[in-house]
Parts: sequence; structure tokens; C-alpha cells
Amino acid sequence: MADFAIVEKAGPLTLIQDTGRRGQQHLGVSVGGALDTHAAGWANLLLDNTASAALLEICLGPFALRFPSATRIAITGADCGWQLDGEALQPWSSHRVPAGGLLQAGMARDGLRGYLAVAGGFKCPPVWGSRATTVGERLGGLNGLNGEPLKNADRLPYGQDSGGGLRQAPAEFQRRYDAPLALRLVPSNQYADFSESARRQFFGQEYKVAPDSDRMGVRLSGEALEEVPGNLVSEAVCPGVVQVPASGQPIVLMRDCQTIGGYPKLGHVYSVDLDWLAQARPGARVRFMPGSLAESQALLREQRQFFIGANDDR
Amino acid sequence: MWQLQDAGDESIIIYLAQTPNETVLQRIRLLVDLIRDSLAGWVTDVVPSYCSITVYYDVLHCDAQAIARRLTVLLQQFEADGAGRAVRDSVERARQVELPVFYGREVAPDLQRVAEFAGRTVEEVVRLHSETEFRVYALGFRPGFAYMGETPELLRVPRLDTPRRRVPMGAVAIAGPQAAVYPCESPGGWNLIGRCPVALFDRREDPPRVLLQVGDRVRFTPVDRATFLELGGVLDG
Repeated sequence: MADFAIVEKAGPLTLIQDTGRRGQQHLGVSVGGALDTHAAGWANLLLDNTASAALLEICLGPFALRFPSATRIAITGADCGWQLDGEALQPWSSHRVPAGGLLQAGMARDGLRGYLAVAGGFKCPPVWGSRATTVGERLGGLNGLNGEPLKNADRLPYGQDSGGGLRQAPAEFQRRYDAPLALRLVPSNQYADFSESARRQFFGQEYKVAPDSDRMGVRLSGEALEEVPGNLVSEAVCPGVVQVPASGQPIVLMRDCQTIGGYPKLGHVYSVDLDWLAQARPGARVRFMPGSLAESQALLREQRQFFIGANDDR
Repeated sequence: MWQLQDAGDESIIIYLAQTPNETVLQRIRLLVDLIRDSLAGWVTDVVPSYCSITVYYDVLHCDAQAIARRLTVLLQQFEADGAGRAVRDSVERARQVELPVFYGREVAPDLQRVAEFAGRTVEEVVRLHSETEFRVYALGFRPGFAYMGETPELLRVPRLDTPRRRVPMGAVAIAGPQAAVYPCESPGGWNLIGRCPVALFDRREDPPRVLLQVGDRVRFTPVDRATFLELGGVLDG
């Protein structure tokens, strides 16, 4: 029988997430899933969960959750100053929680999104193979079909802890998110339609993350690109794609993005670099540099193999 | 002809034309099925749009070169196997869907403005909209949202300058040459000219099923308020 963790403080945007929902993009259903796949992957790995186990993505905090029965949890991602019954917890680590234990997070001190996994994963009903919450589509979430962020007093079902040790991610895998970003871009799609000077402008300048960025897209502000090509016949778009509307200010699509779109695209950011962008706060500095698809795919393959390991249920 | 291009870390796009038309639409429909059947173990999503098909794959199963090779062989075969004949056959087999629409003012906040734009009466706008046979060219924006074309020239009102924060489920909308029915409540910038009582998408179904699919022929049939309500239509919200 599942136990239910009680949400005592939901925070501004706490979402049940996993590796996302595939196979339905032709119906207009976006992929969704945890935005920082590195941090989310580690949270599950520290508990020997499957890579696709559902966990919580906590945007900014604060957040508090009480566990009625003993279990293990893991915390990664943004540094939220996690505490268990008032005692500070090591980040990027798994921890034992006693029956009745209260887990609390403050406001993120760097980065944007903290991740909390529980042994065995959160057991909300999956929709089309995934528990990912996409708010805009009203999919996923606590009952699978409301697609809402968590609210105070929500009851989150979690599995039995099969028992296991406690671990910490090696130092080289722990991340802090305050440094400016250099995102690698694979030129593709309409890259050739942008003028030479627009491309130089794009790679030559430093952008700032705009405040109206969200899980659908990170909006960047800088010197407007000149001579942006006109809109095209709509075609499929996916997370990582850099589209440029007439304003000349690029938008990097994130995991809740629409499935098709009509803005011209410069190319796509390396999937492994999107993990960093997912943690970039408004005002964060971002540059782009040209990369290659071969490298981008190799890095993604390496990351996915690493997290899936021998444990996965796929 | 066709052209392949990488479109993401795990996606490749097949461009089949510059501008959409009936033949392209049918080629896309046939190719989508062919790709799904032939590359089932490799691909995760096959997403058609107006002039293209985007194929998503998993980097653990293949890479950009491998998928491009497989698709090239598939496309060459498709062309060689008399795709033209298959396309002609399938044009005749395209599904016909009739959608009832209540065009009453209480559910059509932009109908009057569309009429003014067209220089016609509201009744004529309704007649033009409901006498047009639309085709579904793509699905996107929200689950089950079907982009349809083409709206008659006279009614090609541009989208709103400021999108509405909330468009109700079932709203029948036009913008430029495009037409659609909102499958769920969402923000939206198209002109609302009626309300459809039929569900386009039910999120409780597994696997998900949508009423409208790429290639379908769609007609809007005017119904009165009572019929709209009888069919399960909702007025408020």
C-alpha cells in the first residue's frame, strides 16, 4: 500500500516530472519532463530509482513536505538550503527520512529548479506513459489529468523503500549555476536564410535571460538581429530549437514547447547544454558558440546511457 | 522531390514541398504511415505538418547518419512504387468530418467584426464559413488542435493584436487563411465566430485519440441554440 506525503508548503511552481511523454507529438502533445535532466537524473540515481521515476521539480521554493513513513530521499539541482526536521542536509545526496519527518526547502540560492526524488518514485497515475506535468496542456499532475502545480495539503503517493545505502554525487558531477553560460548551437533548419551579419551578431553578442521565460521557452534579450527572415510554413519544433520572431530576439524552446511553429530557426542548442539553461535566472548572461551534431549526439548518448544504466524499466 | 535536414539532437525533417497543396498533403499522410510501419523500432514520434514530416528518434538506437540512410531508401522506394497512384487513390478515401457549429452572438464575440472586415452581413459570413470544405493540414499548439485551410479570401481577418488570455473549449476560430476549433480552454489570438459542441480530444482516453487527423475533409454545419445544447454544447465560460 502506498503512503502519502503531505505538501505543507507548495511554493510558487512545484511540478511532478519525469523523463517526459513521447509518442504523441503528432497530436500536439508536448514532450514535457524535468528541465534539468542532469540534476533530475542524479536525484533518481542516488536512490537506485529507474531513470524515468517521477520526482518533484521545485521552482525557486520555498517548499515543505512531510513523510508519514520512513523512506529515503535525494536532493539535487538548485541550492535550496534543504533541511530535515530543522537540520541542514548535504545537497546532491540521498538521505534517510524518519516516519513523520518534515523536509523543507528555502528560496533557491543559485539556479532556479531544485529536484527532490523519493525511493521508488512518486506514484501518481501516469498519462500516456508519463507522469510529467505540462500545465499548458493540463496533463499529468497529482491525478494525472489536472496538470496543475502542487498545492498545499496535496497528498503525494510514494512507493515502498526497498532499502539501500546513502550516497553523494561525486564532486565533479555536482553543479552550481551562477556562472555565465556558453551554449553550443548546431546550425540547422533555416540557418542559411539568416544573413551573414545576423549570424555574426548572434554568435558575437552576450544575451540576457528575459523575465518572461518559462518551461515553454527561454526568451533572450540583446541587440535585435537584423534582417530576420519572414515566417515560414509551420513545421515541427522541439526543445533546444532557437527560433527568432520578427523582434529579432531569440527564444530557446524548452521541454513544454509547442509541437509545431512558424518562426525561422537558427538551429538547436545541445541537449546537454539545455540542462544549464534550465537553471538560468532572469538576467543571467548567455552566449552561443557553433557546435556540431556529431558532438551533440555523442554527449546526449553518453548522458542517457549513464543515467539509464542497468536499472531502467525501459 | 524531397530534402532531408537535421532538426534537433534527435530529429530529422523531410521537406516535401515549398507550399502546401492537396497532393503534398496526401503524400505526407501515406509517408507518415510508411515511416511508422518501417522504422517502428527506431522512431519515437512522426510529426506531419503542412509541407514536411519530422521524424524523432532515440540516440540510443541510432544516429543522424543512420536515420538519414534509412529514410532515403524509404523515400526512394516510395517514389519508385508509383506514389502518384497511391496518392490519387487516397485522395478519394480521405475522411469526411462534419462539425456542428452554433454561430450565435453569445458564443461568437468576433463575428460582427469579421462581417465588417468582409463588408458582408453576419449571415453571409456564416454561409461562407459553413459552405467551405476545409482540410486538416497539421495538429499542434494544444493536444488535438487541428490547423485547417483554407478560409475564403473575404474572411481572412488577421489574428488579434493582443491574444485573449482565455478562449473556451469548442471555440470555432479563423485567422488569415487558417481555421480551427479550440480543443480545450487555452489562451488564443484567433477570431472567434462560433462554438462547436463536439469534443475534439478526450484526455481520459488511453491511448489518446483525436477527432481530426491530418488529411481529413471538414465541413461546419450551422445548428441552432437548442441543437447545440442538445449535443452537449456549453454556453458559458
